Amino acid sequence: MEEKIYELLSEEFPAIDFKGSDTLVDDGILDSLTITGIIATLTMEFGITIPYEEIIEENFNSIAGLAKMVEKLSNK
Amino acid sequence: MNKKQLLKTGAFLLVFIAIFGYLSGILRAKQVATGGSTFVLEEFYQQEKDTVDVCFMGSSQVIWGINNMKMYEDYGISSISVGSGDQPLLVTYFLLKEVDKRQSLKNVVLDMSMLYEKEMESRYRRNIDGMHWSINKLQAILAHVGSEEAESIQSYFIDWIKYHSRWKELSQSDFVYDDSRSSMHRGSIVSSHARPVDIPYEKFIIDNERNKTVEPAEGQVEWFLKIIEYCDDNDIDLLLIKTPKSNWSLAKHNGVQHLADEYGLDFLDFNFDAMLKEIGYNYGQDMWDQEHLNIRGADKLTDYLADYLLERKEYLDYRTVDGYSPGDVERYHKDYKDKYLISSIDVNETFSYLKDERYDLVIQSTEDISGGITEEMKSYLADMGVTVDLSEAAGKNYILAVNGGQCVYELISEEPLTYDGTFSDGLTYSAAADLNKKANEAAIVINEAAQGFAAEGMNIAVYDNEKGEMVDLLTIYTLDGALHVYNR
Amino acid sequence: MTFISVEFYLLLAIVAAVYFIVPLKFRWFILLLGSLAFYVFQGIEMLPLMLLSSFVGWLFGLCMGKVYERDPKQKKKAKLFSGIAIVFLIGMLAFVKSSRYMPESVASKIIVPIGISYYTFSIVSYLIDVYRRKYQAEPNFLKFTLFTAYFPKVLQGPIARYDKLMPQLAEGHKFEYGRFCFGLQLMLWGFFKKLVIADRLSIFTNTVFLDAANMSGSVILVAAIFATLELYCDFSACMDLASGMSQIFGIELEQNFDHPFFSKSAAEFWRRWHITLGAWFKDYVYMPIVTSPRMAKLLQMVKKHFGTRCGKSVMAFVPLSVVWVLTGVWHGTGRAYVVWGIYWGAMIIISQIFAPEIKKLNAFLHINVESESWKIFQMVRTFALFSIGRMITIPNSLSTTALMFRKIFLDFRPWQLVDESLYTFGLDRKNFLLALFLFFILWSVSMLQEKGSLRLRISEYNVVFRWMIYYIAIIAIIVLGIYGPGYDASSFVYIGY
Repeated sequence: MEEKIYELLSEEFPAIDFKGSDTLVDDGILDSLTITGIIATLTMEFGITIPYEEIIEENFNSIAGLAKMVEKLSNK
Repeated sequence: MNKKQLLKTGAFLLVFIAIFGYLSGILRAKQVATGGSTFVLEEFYQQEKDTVDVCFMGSSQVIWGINNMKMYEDYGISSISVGSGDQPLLVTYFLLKEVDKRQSLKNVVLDMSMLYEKEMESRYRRNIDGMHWSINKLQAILAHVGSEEAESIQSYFIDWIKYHSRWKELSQSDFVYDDSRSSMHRGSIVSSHARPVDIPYEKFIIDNERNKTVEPAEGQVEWFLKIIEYCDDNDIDLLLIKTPKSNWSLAKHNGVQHLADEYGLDFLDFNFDAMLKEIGYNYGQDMWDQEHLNIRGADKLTDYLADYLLERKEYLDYRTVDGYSPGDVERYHKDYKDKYLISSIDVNETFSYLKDERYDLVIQSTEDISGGITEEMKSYLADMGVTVDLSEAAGKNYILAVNGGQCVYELISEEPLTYDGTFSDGLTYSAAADLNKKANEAAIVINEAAQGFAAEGMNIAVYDNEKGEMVDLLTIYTLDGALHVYNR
Repeated sequence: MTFISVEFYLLLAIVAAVYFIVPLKFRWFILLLGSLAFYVFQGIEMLPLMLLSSFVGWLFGLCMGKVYERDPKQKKKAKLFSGIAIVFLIGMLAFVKSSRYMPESVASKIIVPIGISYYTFSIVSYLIDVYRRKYQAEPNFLKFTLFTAYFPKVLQGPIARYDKLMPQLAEGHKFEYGRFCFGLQLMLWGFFKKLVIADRLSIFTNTVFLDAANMSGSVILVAAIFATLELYCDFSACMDLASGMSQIFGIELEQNFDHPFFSKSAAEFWRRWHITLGAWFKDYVYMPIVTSPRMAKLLQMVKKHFGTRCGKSVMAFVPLSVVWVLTGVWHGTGRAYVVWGIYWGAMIIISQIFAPEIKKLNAFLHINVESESWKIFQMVRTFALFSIGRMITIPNSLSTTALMFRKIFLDFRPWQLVDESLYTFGLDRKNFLLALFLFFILWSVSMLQEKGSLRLRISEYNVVFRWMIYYIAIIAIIVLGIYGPGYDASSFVYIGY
């Protein structure tokens, strides 16, 4: 899952090095517009709905966090 | 906050207040034009305590119209003028208190034109701002700020609120107080503005309705009454006058006279024919504009008032007081002479002034006046070492240069002449004389600035080689067979 | 009583003095009294309305708190409470702001409580946060009112967040000399920007814009540039004053400006200009839309029929459009403001949707996006874009804006830039040149501030140099400031909100 997400996002956002940090949001690498794009991509790809409560650093700071979130939401 | 911090803060504030106090003095607008209130007030503050007996107050007419140095030199009376352009009576009242506090006055002579003028904020501003901080200034501010047009009380107390925007107009006079060119002597303006205008007797009182009275302007009477009360309480003789001023009226006179009668005061109105004649008013010569006497008029009025005062009271003759100095006497005499020169309308009188170590002259012709040259003129010229006889110079061009009363160049010719000369202090000039070249040509050019003689006649430039300034430019021309003087 | 009035600072001094005398646990109450006093000075008729908003916010917040206490899962009920309160508050705001569209007889009776746009948004953010169970509701009405009406921020923001501000307000702070000095220094800079720069520029801009129809395009252009800097100086000065005075009390307000003209894109600009407004819209409008189930459904539908790229575009388009139209409306009533909102929205949306194309274009033109010169170009571009936007809102009339643009393109008259006519629009030669010099000062100080706290840096210099800097600043404000007889007072630009 992690790899899949990594490939997907790297293709959509080639300028961002998703593996380069564990604190993508805290470091300012992901701004709100990019996060929006990620939400759109993940929503369309996995058919999930990402609710407001999930927009937290824990989920978006790393690929691992994103993967965990997607899995959780896919199983709902 | 601990003690150290408190001290630091305190020090910071104190240093700032000191710096800013100094700056705010610079920013304050100073009235240093001729007759400006800054000069008038500073003149007064410079007088030694208890050395002034008479104070002339009111509008600018008392600084132009009275010659206080003459009062001293000819009569021994110590007087000053503390007047300023359109001085509102509120200001006069507080200035009177300020003056009397330091001087223990015997007389106050008040010119009454302000009774009828409603005054502008700027007149209050410039006088009150110019006062040194004192109870009187405080009271003046408090008394004034109630009225509609007055600026805010904060801007009076902290005057940089008003004046800070002057940062872009600052000039030397804001930094350095220099009264050497103020042409003021004991509050009288001796220098500047002397060229006479022609105001015949009829122009002074303009109506003849004996029974009409004009109401005083709003806000002025109450202060006038306070002045009367103050003088009464402090044993000061109050004399009301009205200096010659065209467009004064009978109705206004009546208004003042009415108040004078009510309070038992004398009122001398110099606008009536009889009074003008009594002081020897010469209507072509004694005023420099519609409202102000020039030095000649001032001298005459001063003579009259001196006699009037001496008839009624004893005054200490300050000429007999050891060590008393009335001011810069030397400069006064120089200014005095300059102004008599400028206000002269008689050619012989004019020429009598020209020989002087202080004067450098450039004389040239653009019109033949040789026929009118008088014997007196010739003898004055000869005194200065001029050898050519100008009465024989019909149809000829001539240029004369006289430095410090001695002729240094003279040339007379039928050809057009030019001459490059130097004044005693080194300033250069050039002159041209050509009877065929008439108007619109600069005949004398001094230091690259054309002195623009376009008049036809004999042109004389008078230069003060001590001050380094032009004193007078005059033209002598022929009219109706006689010579006349025209001062520019 | 605005930030530029003697009375205000008298009140501030009194509040500060009492604050530091009173025991720590009562200090918040002093701030409340001071804030109420300040508000009363604004106009006593406004006070009940502000208190009403505060009351509604507090009451419904407390209701939600009680609901959650009983059963943390009762979101529906909580939603109802917050919904009612929010509708009421926003409704009040909308009503008050739309007085323009009402008949004169009604409009003249409407009282516009000062700061309503700001405190309403603050209270709404509180309600939504409580709904989201971000923190507990505030049980104390007085403390809540302090949050609403805290005087340094009530006039022009920043739009405060309850969890950031309330704890600081409630806690009594001890006096700290260093912090006190820093606060004063920040206020000094604020005064400088407002009295010396902004008010000076406003003389020029008012003169020009009052008579735009007769001005040449070149002069209008200069005035637009001046107007941009004027707005920045005016608004950021107010923020500096608010932050500075709060610092004296030991309270840190949120930053509202971060040298916005160093931004390289429109998006970045709005993260640096009026930061708290952008943050509010992000947290309470934008993100909720982005994460709503309806949005997710929409995306799936679009993907099915038009592909993922289109889906992404829709995701870029929808929430931003809503936010930007609302942002425009928040700034003012009138078509011009909606157009303004759309203007910025469009720029940001387009740069999002067409990001790949833009990148290709840059490559095609051989533009090195990392180079210094490109970065400088971007900053100038940002400034220009903002100025264009400013021209839309200044006259609040689209026809006048159109006229101004027409003038710039068709009636430029470039000679007016050099023939000294620029000195004839209220600022004479010396004042105009001073204004240009002041831009340089502004730029220098901003550059230094980008690099780190300027106050900290100055505090490390020796005492003579330090004091010299402070004295020069104070004297500059006193001498060069626009106030006193001879100048018209000009009020803060964003206050009408």
